[in-house]
Amino acid sequence: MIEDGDVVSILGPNGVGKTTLAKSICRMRKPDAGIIVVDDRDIREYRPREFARHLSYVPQRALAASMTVFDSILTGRRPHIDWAVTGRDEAIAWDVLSLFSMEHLALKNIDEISGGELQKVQIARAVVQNAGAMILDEPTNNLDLANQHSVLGLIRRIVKTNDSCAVMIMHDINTAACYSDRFVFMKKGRIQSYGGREAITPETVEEVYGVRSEVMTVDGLPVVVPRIDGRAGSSPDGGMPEWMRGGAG
Amino acid sequence: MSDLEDPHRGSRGRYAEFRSRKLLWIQALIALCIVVALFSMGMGAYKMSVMEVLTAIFRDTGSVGNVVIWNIRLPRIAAAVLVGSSLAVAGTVMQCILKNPLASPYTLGISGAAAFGAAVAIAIAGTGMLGGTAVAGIVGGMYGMSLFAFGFAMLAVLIVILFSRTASATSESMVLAGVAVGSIFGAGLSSLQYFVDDSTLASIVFWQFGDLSKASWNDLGIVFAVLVPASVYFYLRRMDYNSLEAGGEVAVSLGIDTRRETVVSMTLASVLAAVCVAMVGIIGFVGLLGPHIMRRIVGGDHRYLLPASMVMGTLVLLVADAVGRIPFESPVPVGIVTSFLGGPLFLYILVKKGRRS
Repeated sequence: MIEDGDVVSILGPNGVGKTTLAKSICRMRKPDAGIIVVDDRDIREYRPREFARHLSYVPQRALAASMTVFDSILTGRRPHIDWAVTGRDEAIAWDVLSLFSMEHLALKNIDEISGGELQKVQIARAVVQNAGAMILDEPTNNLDLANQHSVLGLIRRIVKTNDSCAVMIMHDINTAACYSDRFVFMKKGRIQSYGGREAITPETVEEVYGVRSEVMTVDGLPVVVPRIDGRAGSSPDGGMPEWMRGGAG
Repeated sequence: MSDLEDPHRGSRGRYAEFRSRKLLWIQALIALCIVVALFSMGMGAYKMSVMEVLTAIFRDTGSVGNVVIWNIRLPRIAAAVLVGSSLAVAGTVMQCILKNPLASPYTLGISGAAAFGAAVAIAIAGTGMLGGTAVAGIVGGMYGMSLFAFGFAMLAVLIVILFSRTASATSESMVLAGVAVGSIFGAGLSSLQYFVDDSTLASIVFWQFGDLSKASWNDLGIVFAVLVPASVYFYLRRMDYNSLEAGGEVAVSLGIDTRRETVVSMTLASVLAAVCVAMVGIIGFVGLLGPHIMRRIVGGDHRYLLPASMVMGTLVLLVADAVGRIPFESPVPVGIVTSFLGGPLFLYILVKKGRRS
């Protein structure tokens, strides 16, 4: 149900099964029910290496090791390597490194770089894998505002260029809305709704997150503004405990 | 082309340089191994110069030097090369698979189990349980001891691998499981030592000292026959090991069957270590020192780390063996020297690493 050339965001509250869904697609856990089809074949039919040429995965947390950024990104070529790394493998890794503007870090060990840079290394490794689909579990983890937007923009450009697809687990609906074509809202382990930008409505947000909100349109993109106690511009709530009201200290 | 015209060129050039530097390190260390080996072969009751050693190796003159080199000193050097590279490569693979820098044949209890096995063989022969029969002779003989040592080492490996397949196995608990297995066999060994007579006790204790002079050409042939296919397999898996460094999930997404890889690599590494211990006794620290020194010099890329660790393991054993033979009237077994030199060196590496990060 995901088309080539689409960027899809999976949205929903914590613990609702977004990561479980992603891991099921990546064959890291068996689904309790149903089958998953990637490139017209049941995922259980693929051999491991073959599957890795169809699907890449970026986990939520990155592990540091005493390996250089370049060598670490190069491991993304593993599903394509028969006996040894070829010049083409290295050329691809250099191209991706430059797309992510990280050439200057090529020789740094990944246990010496910042959390945001490590996250970019992880995503770059998945891009180097050049699979038909990319699954990213919270790709904006550890990234600052500029990096969030440049990385998501880059993922979108890649998907549109090679007609692959990307599925990202996201927390920030507004950031997701900037770079995704379709949206999956999850609630209690089930998919609540699936659709394009029109799927982002105050009703869905309240249904899924239990938060009242308004959805505005800025530059043609939906922006969700929550109506919540404590938001700037709203009055402080009376429901606070007594001891807190006399001032701190 | 200048750096400005091609933005990659600067980084690419530096990367190429970085790789040739690693290769240079490995070549330099191989050269150093050869030099140490040549000097080491000249040492001993029958002193020889480097030239005499070389003549004795390459020309069959039937002289005393010829006999000494081919029958005593060359097997020793070959043992250092084979055992040193085996233990170091086994340590490298175990550290990668278990994602634990403390993993090694010694810390996973393999050496302790082998020592217990050898002690059982010696005790069976020594207590006269089988009388003066031929069976007793075989069990107590060199091959009986090696076979028992190997069998028990594989038992320890089996326990650790079976444990690794349970749900509660993490990289930390695997090493702890190894320590527990080691302690069980250690207790078995102590109780055997407590009950046997003095002469049997002496041979049990003597067996435990890792000593390169124990290995005959035949023994070394067996180590060689295991080392070659094992290290070829490890080298073919070098990119898989690099992928595993990024974590199990990433490795799976890169198409690696991590369960199968764990079992196959751990079994091969353990068999390799078990064969070595069965032939020369317990030599600790080489499986830790080899990979850890080289990880600091060539980094964690297994394309270089695997061969580099083998060379460093060889060098460590060659030097330790040579140092142990300085008091040549009564040479100190190499296992004692590696622990004496290895302990402080290892602490130094840890302190330096801590300071850097």
